[in-house]
Amino acid sequence: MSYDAHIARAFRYAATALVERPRDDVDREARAWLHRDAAVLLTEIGTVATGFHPNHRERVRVEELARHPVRVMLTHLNALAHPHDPPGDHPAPSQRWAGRPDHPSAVTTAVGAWRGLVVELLQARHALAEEVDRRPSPERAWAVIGDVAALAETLATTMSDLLPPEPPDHKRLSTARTITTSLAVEAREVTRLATIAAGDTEPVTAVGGPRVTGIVTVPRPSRLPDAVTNLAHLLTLEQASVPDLLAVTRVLAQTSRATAQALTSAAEASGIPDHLTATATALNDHADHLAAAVTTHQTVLGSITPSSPLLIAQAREIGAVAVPGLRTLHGRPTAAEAASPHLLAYAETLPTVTAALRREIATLDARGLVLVRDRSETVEHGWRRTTPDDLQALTARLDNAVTAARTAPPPILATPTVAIPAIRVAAARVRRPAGRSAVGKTPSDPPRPARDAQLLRPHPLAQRPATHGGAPGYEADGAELDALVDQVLGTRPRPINWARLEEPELTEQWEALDTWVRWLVTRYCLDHREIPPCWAEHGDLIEELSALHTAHQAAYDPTGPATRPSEWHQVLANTRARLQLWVARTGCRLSEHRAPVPPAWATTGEHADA
Amino acid sequence: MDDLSGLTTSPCYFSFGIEVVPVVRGHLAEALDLLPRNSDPALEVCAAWAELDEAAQLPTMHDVPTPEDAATALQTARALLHDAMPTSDTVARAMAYARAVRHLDDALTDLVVVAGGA
Repeated sequence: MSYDAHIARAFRYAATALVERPRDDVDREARAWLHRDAAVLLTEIGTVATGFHPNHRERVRVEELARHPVRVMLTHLNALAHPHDPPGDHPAPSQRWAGRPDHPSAVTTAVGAWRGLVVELLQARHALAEEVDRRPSPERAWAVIGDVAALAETLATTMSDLLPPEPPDHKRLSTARTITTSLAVEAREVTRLATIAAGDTEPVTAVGGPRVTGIVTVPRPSRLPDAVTNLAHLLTLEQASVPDLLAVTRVLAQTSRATAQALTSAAEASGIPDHLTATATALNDHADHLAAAVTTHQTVLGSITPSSPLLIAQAREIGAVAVPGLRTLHGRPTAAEAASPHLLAYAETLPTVTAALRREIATLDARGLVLVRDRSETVEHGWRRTTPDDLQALTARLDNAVTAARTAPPPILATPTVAIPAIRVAAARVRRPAGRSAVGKTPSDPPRPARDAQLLRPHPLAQRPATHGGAPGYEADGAELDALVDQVLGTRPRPINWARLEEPELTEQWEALDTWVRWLVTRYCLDHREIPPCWAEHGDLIEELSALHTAHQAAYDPTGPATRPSEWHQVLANTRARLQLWVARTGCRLSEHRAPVPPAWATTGEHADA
Repeated sequence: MDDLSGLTTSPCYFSFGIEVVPVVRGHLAEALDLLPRNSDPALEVCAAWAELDEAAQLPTMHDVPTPEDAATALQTARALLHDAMPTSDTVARAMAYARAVRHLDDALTDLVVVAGGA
């Protein structure tokens, strides 16, 4: 049998494994070993496909996902394959896999499903190694990576089932939960990229904000406000269908309800219980209106317009990761209180995203793109276009939800800070490129992004030495894997998080930004009131200009729509207005730089709750 | 809409090639009618419904006999999806059924919690 045949059977087993939750401790222990086997085999399949050998001692962060998605996923998968504290006695594979069913339809127990899955993965791994004894084509590599990612998500989900509710003080279990949560996040993102690589979905590169080239992952509550902001952004930029919008409505209802529960718990340990309770009340009202809206209309509304994969991916990310995470805070006042600044920031984003949701539904309706189920005999096929009355109740519910969200008191706690990019950049002692000046550049020729240089090289998978027989003998490092990812993302820039960049990428990105800012100033004759010569000394200006830079790269992507440059100029206009405000705040002049002074409590590490 | 309310939902019924999803949707719609509109179980039913959606296709739904209660409708829908997983025409659909089953399990769990708290 071929790899494809074995992996198809593996998916059948995985479907059954996904729905069977653990019954008792014996069941848990048997599954724990099989989960580990699956993680080992999925990692090996990923290695055969990509040549990347993850190191289980390596620590990666889910925040790196945007830049190294496959590498991060395989590394976490490998970490699950090599736990610090392996489960129980070590039975031989013949014992672990004994009694496996002959066929997915013959599965009678969850352990049986896992045994079948593991054995199919083993056979798939060998079949793939024989098939690609030299090297897989990039297309083939992506197809296999997509399989690995989809099964890795199943693995992460079912491993989460084995973990008890969030333990307050148990480090090992806490680490396991973090890894499984991260893996689920990563697997979903890689699955999405693999879909793009397969040509089933158009890559989506929106313009207008710092986080528009993908989804914002939510491995912890601190990311929730950004994810919801991104959702609002996607609602505005993406062409969604009515089912998409109902899905977003449902996810927001569940998120608000879970957040309200967490805030109620946080109030028990907080110095501002009334504030948290008032916010929780507003969120509960918000959730009730949205829940009533979606549960009333889910079965009666339809659409034949295309779905927005990116919007759905972001909504699923929030629903599948953030909501369960928030629910674990219920009844844990201390943990909930620690997360409360982020939960309050989430509440602050709600009026905007809910209003965007309402606006999009109204827009679809106005364009005649919403269909309503109608059982009357005069209606052919049971569906008709909406009349003005059909969506009145839905939009009224959404209006009420917006109003409810606005009743939340504004957050009074500062959002936790991250490392200040300006300081980080300065500490790296980045030397500016010698001899570059605005005068010396050609204003009409925007600089090529640094990433392009890498893309123009031959594909690394095509450079591997040939081997004969058995598993591939080639070696590949992370850069090669990133090149495979670049094949999907292409010249589309990914978000730049200056706080996370390391050398040599830090220098590379910095030089690219520096060059581009000089071009921008020259091309648009911007004076020091918008971009002062000392802009590189100001973190706020760096972040604004960096976001504008990536948006510019996306806008002038040769494969993008011709309207994108025009949209970028709207972004430019908005950014210029903000730049003027930032620059006015600095007090810098053409010939005088005034160093920014961040609040002392933020840079000294002293906590605000003292 | 097809009126199949007189038909049973035995396994042999589906061996004649009738799609399982419209029947499952019928049961989900019945469950939604019986559940409090803004409740957690109702939201999970909507999530299961969304898992069964296919892009650019209007959801088809068959009428089914009115169940005794929401839990019965959910359990029937769950059993139908669970049984259909090994024989679905694509693995992607099998995984979608599995995800829908998990939502229905969550809905059933929420129902127990609601009943216990009532």
